[in-house]
Amino acid sequence: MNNLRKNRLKDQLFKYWGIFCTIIGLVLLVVFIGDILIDGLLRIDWEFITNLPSRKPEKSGIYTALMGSIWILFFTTIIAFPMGVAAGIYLEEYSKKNKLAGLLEINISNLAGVPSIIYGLLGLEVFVRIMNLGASVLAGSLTLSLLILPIVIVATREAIKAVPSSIKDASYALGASKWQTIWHQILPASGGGILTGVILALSRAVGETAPLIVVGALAYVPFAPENPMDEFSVLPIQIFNWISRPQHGFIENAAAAIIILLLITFIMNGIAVYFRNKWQKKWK
Amino acid sequence: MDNAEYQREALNQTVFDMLTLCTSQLEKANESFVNHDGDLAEEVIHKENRVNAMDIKIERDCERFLALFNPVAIDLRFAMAVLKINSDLERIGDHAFNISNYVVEEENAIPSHLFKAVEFDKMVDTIKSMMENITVAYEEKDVKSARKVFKKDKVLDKINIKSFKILETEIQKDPSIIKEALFLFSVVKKLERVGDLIKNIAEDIIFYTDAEILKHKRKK
Amino acid sequence: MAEEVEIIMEKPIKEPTILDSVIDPSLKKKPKIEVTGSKVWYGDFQAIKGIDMTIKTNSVTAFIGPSGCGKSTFLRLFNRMNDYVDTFRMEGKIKIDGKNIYKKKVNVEELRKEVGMVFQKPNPFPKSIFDNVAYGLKIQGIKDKKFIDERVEKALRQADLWDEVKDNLKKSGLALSGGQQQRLCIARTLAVEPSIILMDEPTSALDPISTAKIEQLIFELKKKYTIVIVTHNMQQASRISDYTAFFYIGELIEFNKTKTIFTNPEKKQTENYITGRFG
Repeated sequence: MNNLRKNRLKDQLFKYWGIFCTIIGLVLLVVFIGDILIDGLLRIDWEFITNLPSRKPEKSGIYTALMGSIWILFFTTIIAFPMGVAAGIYLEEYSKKNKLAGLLEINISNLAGVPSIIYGLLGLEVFVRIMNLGASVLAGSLTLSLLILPIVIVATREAIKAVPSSIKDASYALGASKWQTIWHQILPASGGGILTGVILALSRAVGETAPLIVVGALAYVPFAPENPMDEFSVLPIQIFNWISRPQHGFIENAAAAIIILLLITFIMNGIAVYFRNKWQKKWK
Repeated sequence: MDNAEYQREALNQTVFDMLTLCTSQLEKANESFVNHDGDLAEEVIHKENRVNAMDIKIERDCERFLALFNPVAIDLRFAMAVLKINSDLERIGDHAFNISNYVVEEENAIPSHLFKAVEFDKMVDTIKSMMENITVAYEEKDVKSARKVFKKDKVLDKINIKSFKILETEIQKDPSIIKEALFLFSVVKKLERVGDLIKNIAEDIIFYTDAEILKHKRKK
Repeated sequence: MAEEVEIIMEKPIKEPTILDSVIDPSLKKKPKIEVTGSKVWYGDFQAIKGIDMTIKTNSVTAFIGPSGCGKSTFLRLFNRMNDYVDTFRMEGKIKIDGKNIYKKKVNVEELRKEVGMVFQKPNPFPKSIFDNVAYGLKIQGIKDKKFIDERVEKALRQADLWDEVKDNLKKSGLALSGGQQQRLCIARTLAVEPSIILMDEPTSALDPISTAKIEQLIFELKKKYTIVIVTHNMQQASRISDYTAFFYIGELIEFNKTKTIFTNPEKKQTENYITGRFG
C-alpha cells in the first residue's frame, strides 16, 4: 500500500490506541469509585461523622480522625505555605544563577521524589525526640510540611517564571525596587499559580499515611485534638485501621471514610483547578 | 497637522512667495522699460539676489522634503512640480533682470511709436494676465485657470513673429533709431520666452494637480 | 556674496518654514546626555566598542543600524537597565545633566524617575488602566488621591489616550488594542514626569495607523522632553528625529542632523546603509 494510506492507517491506529488507554484508566476509576460507593454510601450519616471510634462498627464514627486531619491540614498550611513561597521567591528572584544554584534546583526536585516514609523517620528523630514535641499535631504538621515543601517551592518558582519578564522590565523602568516589583507585580500576577500549587500540595498531604504513623499518630484515638501538642489521628490511618479488622461492619466504615477522604481531595483539587483557570484567563 | 503636512505647507508657501516676487520683478521690469524709469530698474536689479537666494532655498528645502518624508502620489508630484516651477520662475526673474539692465545701461528711451508699432502694450498686458492666471491656478490648484494661458501665449508668439518685419520697416524709415529698435527686438524675444516659461509652469501645475502630462502635446 | 546674505536678512520670508523638523535644535544649547568612551561587554563579547555622543535637550535622536549592532544595549545604558544582566560590564562615563550616572552612590530608582522607558512590545500591567498609570506614583509612596487623579489624567491626555478611556478607567489595561496599550505605556511613563524618554522600537509591533498616532505624539512630546528612539524603520527616523546616530557592530559610524544623514551623509557606510545597499 502506498505512503498516503500507510500514514492514514498509522493515524487511525494511534487514535484508537489513545482512546483505549484513556478508557482503561477511566473504567478502572469508575469501577473503583463505584465499588466504594456501593460499599459505603449508605453508611454515611450525621452520626457517622460525629461519632468517636468504638469497638462496635455501628457506633464507630470518623469524628476524631476528621478533626485530626483538619488540624494537621491547618498547621501544615501555616508552616509550609509562607516558608515554601518565600524560599521559591528567593531562589527565583534573588539568588545568582550560578553552579551552586543549579545544584540546589536539582536537589529540591529530588526531594519531592523522596519516599514519604523517610520524612516520617526524619520527623520522628528531629521533631518527636530531639525537639521533644512528642507524637503531637505539631510534630506531624512539621513532618508533613517538610514533605510538601519541595512541591510548594517548585510550584512557586514555576508560577513566578510564568510572569513575563516584560512586566518586570516595565516595573523596574518606572523606578521600582526589586521588592516593590515582587510585591506589587510578580506576586499578584503569579498568585493564582502559587495558590494552585499550594492547594495541590496540601491535598496530597491530606492523604499521607506512612510518615504520620512513624511519627506516632495513633490508630485508636477517642478524642479530637484541642491544642497543637495533643496526640491525634487522621482519616487515612483510621481507614487503614478499620480495614485490618475482621468485622464486616468495619469494612463498610472504611468504605464510607474513603468516600469522605475522596470528597475532600476532589474538592481541594477542584478549588485548585478553579484558581488555575481564573489565573490563566488574566493573561489572555 | 503632522510634521510632514507642516513641512509641505511651508514649502508650498515659499514657492508662492517666489511666484509673487517674480511676478513683481517682471511687472516692474516691463514698466521701467516702457517708461525708461532708471530707478525702478535699479530696484529690480537689486532684488535679483533675492530671487537667486530663494531659488536655492526652494531646491534645498525640496530635497529635504523628499529625503525625509518619502512622499508619494500627489505629494510626490507636488515636489517634482515645485522643482520645475522654481526653475522656470528663476528664469523669468533672470529675464526681468536683463530687461532692467538695458534700461540702466541705455541713456535713451525707446521712442513710443516703436512700442505702438509692435503692440508692446498688448504684450505686457497679456503677460500680466497670464501671470495672474497661473498665480490663481497655483494657489487654488485650479486647472481651468492654468489652461487659460495656452491661448494667450499664442498672442505673444504672433507679436514676436511680426516684430521682425515691423522693426525692419521702422529702421529703414529712420536709421537713427536702430540701437533702440534692436533693444526692443531683444526684449520682445525675451517676453516671448517668458510666455513659454509661463506655459511650462501651467503644465507643471496641471501635472501636479491632475497627474496629466501635457508636455509636447498640441494644446487647444 | 556678502550682499546676498544681507538681502536675506533684510526681510525674513516667514517664521519657522525651515525644514529642520520644526523646532530648530540649535536653540536648545544644553547637552542633556553626554557619553564619553563608552564600552560594554557581556562576558567576553564586546557589544559596544568605544562611543562618544552628546544628546541635546528637547531633541529627538534616532538610533539606526542593522540588528544586533548595539543600539538597544547603548540605549539601556541611559537608565541602567543593563544592570540586570549578570554578565554586563561597562567602562566610560555617562553624564545626565552633568552628573555621572554610574557612580556607586547613584540611586538607580531615582535615576529611572528622570529617565523613562517605553518598550518594543506594549507591556501594560495586568491591572486597571488607572492603576497602570498610577503605578509609578504609588511606588514613590505618594498617597494623595487628588494628586494622583490629576497626574493620571494629565498623563493620559499627553499620551492622547484620555478621550478613549476616560469613561472607564477601571477597565483592564490588557483589554485595549495594541496601539492603545502602547499609548498606555507611554502615559505610565509620563505620569512620573521624567525629563528623558527612551523608546526601544516602540512602534515595530503596531499597525500603520497606530504607528502614525505615536509618531505624532512623539512630535508633540519633544517640546517638553528629550527623546531617544531606537528604530529599525529608517523612514520613521527621517520623519520624526532631529538627530540620527548610525550604529554598526558596536561602533558609532556617524552622528549628525537627520537632514544631513538623509541628504548627504559624511560616511560612505552610512550612505550604503540608508540606500539599502547593505544591512
